[in-house]
Amino acid sequence: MLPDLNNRRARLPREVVFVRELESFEGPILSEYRAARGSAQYVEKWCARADDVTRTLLVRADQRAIVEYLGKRRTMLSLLTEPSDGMGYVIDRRQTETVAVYGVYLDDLPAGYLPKPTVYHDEDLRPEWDIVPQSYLIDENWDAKLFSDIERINLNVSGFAYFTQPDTSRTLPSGLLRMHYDGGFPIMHVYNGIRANLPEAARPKSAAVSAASPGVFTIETPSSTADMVRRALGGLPKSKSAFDAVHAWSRLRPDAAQKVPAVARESLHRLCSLLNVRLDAILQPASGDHEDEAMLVAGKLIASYYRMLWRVVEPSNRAEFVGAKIEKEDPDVSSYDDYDDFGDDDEF
Amino acid sequence: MALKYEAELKLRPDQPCPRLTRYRQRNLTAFRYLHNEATDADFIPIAKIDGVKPKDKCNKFALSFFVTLAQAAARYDDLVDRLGDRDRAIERYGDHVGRIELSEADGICCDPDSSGHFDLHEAADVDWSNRVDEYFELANKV
Repeated sequence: MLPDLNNRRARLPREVVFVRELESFEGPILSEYRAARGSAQYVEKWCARADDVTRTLLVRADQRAIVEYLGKRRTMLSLLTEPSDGMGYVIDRRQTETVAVYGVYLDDLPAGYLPKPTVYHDEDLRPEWDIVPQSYLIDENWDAKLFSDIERINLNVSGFAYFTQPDTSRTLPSGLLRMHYDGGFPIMHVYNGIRANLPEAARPKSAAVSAASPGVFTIETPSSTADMVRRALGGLPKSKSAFDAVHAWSRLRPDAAQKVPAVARESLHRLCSLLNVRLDAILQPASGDHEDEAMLVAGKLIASYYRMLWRVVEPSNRAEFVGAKIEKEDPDVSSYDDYDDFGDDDEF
Repeated sequence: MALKYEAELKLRPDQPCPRLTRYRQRNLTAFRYLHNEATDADFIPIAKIDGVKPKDKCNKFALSFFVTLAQAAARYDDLVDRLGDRDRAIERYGDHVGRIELSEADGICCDPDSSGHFDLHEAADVDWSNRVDEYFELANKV
């Protein structure tokens, strides 16, 4: 039998609605709720079960704290105790029916209701979500352009990942591999085309800004797209030497395409494999002189994608990505800004 | 194959449920948390214990297994810390791991994740009595 608690209440002070489970193993361990009216956020942790009654703890939380927990910047204990000021509600439910509510100080909870202080989020316990939040912690110097840049970068990599996904026959939008490059053509236009053609069902969207300083900016991405981007980001730390090998020749200008080395295809293949990109989605079938040009275009595209992925992880020194843990092998990510969008080096 | 909770599965929001591109019949040795000695109560999916919310997906009707004993034990240690203490983990999952030879007749399984965990959707006529070949006590974490 579950132990009785003091301060029994008739009900919760406000109606809350279930948002999603954050962690689950044969049932929820930690779930997110929000107020039915208003923007208040809550997290609920499983506490105990006896005689068909399941007991949970519901506490106030905030968007940044939840994002920090999912990004492994905060422990579960801290998530439960700090934004809530150490107060909450214990709820007893029989199936989905609430049978008791208690107002509680977390310090007074029975032993074993709160997690150990060493517990961080484990992605293996994260249920499959239809929409996956990609969040950035924003410092006090944020501005609207920062949010716009982050959204555009996420659209760029989502689009590139979508059109080049292995085990599909998708191709980059018509024309992007067939442009006339002799006049110089910034890679910006390739990404413009990718963004414009990315289907609605695969598009990330800006979802929430907590503009407190420091705050949090969240982009919600359909789970299939998020999975593709996650795989690409997972390959980043191992890709530095493969990128260097491509970068060594992909900087050539179009009129020097004949200087593309014989090993270009091999280096392309290696970098594409690491970044989960289908080579034939970016390498146009060609012969003779056109083969070198096609190789050069593919090299520029995959090199730009590598740099763009790093910008997802580190879009600015004012924003910290918490969507995935990336070991930073490259110490000078900021220098990639020189190549993005308008950089001469990426003109075809 | 007819599944035990087929009617309920059809009501879940993530159709088709389960997704047959991800689940298939298998023969393998698997490990599940339970009590010693196991009863039918050790093979009840969480949806039948907690009920289901409208957003709850297909896997609420699945049973959890692990590929190896070591993976099951490692996750149990984590769950003890995550839930709060060992008593909470025992209430929820049991204090033993059972080794079970799963056969194709038992249902359909997904691929294991990086922790060795996978879900089984039970066949309609599966009977779990006398199916545990060996029990391993989940020792107190040092």
